[in-house]
Amino acid sequence: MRNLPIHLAAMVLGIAIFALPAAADDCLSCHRLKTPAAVRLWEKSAHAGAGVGCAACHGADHALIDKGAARVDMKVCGRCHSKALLEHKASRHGMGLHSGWGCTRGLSNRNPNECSFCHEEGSRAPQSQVECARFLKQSSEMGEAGCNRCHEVESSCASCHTSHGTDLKIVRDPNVCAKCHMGPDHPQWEMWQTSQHGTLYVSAGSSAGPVCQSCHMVNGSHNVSSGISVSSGGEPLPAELGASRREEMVQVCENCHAQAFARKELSRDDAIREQSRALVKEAEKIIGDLADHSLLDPMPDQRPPHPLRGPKLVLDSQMLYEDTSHIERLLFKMKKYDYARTIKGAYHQNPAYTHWYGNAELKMDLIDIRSEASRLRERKAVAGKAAGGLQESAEEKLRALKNKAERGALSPAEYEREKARLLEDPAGAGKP
Amino acid sequence: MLHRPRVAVRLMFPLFFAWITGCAHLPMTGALPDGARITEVARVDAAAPFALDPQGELIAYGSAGLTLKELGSGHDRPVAAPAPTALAWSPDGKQLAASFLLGEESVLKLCDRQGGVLKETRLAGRVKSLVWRSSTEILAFAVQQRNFSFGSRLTELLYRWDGTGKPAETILHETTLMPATLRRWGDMLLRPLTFSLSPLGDEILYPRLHAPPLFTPYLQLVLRNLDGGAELEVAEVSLHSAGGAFSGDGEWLLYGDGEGESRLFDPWGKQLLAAFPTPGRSVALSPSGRYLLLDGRLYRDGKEIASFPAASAGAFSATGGRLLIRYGERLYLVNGLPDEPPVPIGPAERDRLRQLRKWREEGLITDTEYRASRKRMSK
Repeated sequence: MRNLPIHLAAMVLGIAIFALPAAADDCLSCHRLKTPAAVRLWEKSAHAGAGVGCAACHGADHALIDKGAARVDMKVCGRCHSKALLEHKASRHGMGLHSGWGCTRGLSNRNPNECSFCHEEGSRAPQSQVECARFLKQSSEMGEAGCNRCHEVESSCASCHTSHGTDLKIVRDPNVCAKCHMGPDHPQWEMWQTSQHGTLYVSAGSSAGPVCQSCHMVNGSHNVSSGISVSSGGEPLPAELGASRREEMVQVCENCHAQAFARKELSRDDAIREQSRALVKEAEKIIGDLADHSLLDPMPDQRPPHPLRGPKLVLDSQMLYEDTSHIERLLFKMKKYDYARTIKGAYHQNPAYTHWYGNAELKMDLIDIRSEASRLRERKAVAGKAAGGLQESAEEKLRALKNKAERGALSPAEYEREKARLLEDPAGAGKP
Repeated sequence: MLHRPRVAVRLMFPLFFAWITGCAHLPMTGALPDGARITEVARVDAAAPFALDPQGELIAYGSAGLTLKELGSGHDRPVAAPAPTALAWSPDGKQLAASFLLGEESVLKLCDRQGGVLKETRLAGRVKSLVWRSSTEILAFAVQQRNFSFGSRLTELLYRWDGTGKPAETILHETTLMPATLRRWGDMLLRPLTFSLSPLGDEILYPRLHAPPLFTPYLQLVLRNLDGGAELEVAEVSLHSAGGAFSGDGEWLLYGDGEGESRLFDPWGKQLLAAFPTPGRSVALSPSGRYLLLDGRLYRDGKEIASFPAASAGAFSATGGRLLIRYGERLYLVNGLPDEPPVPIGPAERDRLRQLRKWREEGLITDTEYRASRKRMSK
């Protein structure tokens, strides 16, 4: 006990010695030359003002940093910004958008470094189980530059805040959202920019015109899903959740508008959504019927298997735009581009997107799909005539019956009856 | 107590006799059917493959290489080195398929009856078994192991080759083997990975290896239709299981659970026809289905008639009547088993049956509908 002060002094000295290399000054001497922009941003940041140095986020193990294994992800930021982290994780931004795309190690010519996008060093378990068929079709390079740069928002605060700077001007500017929320599939930024909201913001400032953050990050909340009552694919959320989200959005609108006006606007937009969804469902039914009768060209079992479902027709959110038939590609455009533009255009108060870029395209897509379906049916009939009046084979008929039964287009009793008729038909319907 | 030394001497004598005679005779209890007899035919590598040609005249086996033995003259003809990993005679007996390991790949050779190489091709991974689907199409089951920092990725592959061009490859199953699993189980993981082909040539029965973290690895026996690719999971068995074999009509399967019981099982009706109190670490079924060889126990019509050492492995000839048994480093031939292969069915009936089986496998018709249609065919 007599030596306790000496021991304590030695410990303090030891900690100081080991901590010194991690101090910001030590990093800055080199990094002013090697990464000057990072240093400049950090020096102006709130972090620098609060004494949060390089090692606080990056750690002090330079070898690990060089290896790329000391990423500053949301867990590092969350150590201090826990409220923002919790809000973020509860939102669509934080719900497994990027990780667990589906393991790519079985695909050919992969970059081994891409494993670190889903797996922490030394861990076999992916960070979430969400899988994306479209990602699995990409090369390593495209997956990284074309998918992950947006979807890294799940675990990377820097995706919006940028690295090293903390200026809130960056994340309060709608341009920060435009990096991902633009383009053919969900052009929210363009919709907002050319809507009256966007025009007012540009001409009269944020007090007159709301920006993305005004409605989707109310009071600085990181829960960007607040107030959104449809899924990312445009399907209505379960009733109770949808209703509570609607109330959240009405409250947002009430910051500027009368409640009755807001409700009326949103109800009208819901109606547009349902009318447009019916067009998509009709197109899906046409394609389902074609697949029942093996009329798609190529059929799912004649093309590379779907990365998640194998040789099956996939028309849901895991639908592909490549290695598919022409008519499915038309549906992809209809659903992922035109339906999305219609409903997002309506909810973002942009008439041109709601009508011309959205709904009009949807209707024209349906004409194309009906026409392509007719062509496929006629082609089959012509091929049948050329082959001496060959009728649909028993296997094709059985498959069509099974597909119909699975889609609910035939009752179990009808299905049994039709099959029995086929198998017992002495005229040859049951023959291969 | 006084009798113990005498008993010990009595027990030791046959062992001593077997030792001084070099185990020339296959130890057996029980009795073979009248007219059947056993002869030693070759010295082989332990665990080496062997195959009897359909005419019953030639045996191909692994013994420091590939050797062909003429049963009539007793003449051995060394054909190639190194030792093959799998062997199979074509149904017409004109060609022998043999696979050899070459680094991480395999070489598949098609040879004539003299051992001359007619054609050869390269296959990824290690070929574990070969079966002829017809006289012009050979099937190979191979496993490929690729090592990563987190363990190994094991891929089970099916190759179909008609002797021209590149063999068609199908990935049957993939699994990840963690380092601890590999250390604990080693070669045991790969040993049971073989497959069998149905007599109609339309289905294979193969094992899928599963190695979940913290659990004992196991095999899932899967029935796969070769025309449509539809699959049916039949059973889960231990790594000790030798897999399964098809009955003569292709409707029943014989497999062992690898632990204590072997079963004759209808995979569609989920019906157990018979159970045998032996783990099925080696399994063979005669073409008629009358004889079974399970872990050295020879059954006829469901009853055990003779017993060879449990470590022996056997294969019945395609035409019935003969049984090759490998025990230790020796190969024995049991001749004269009263057995007849099933009466061959005509091509039209065969096609119709294959079609119905494919529909059943793809879920287009139920097993009941299949049976009703089959019954109508036989009327």
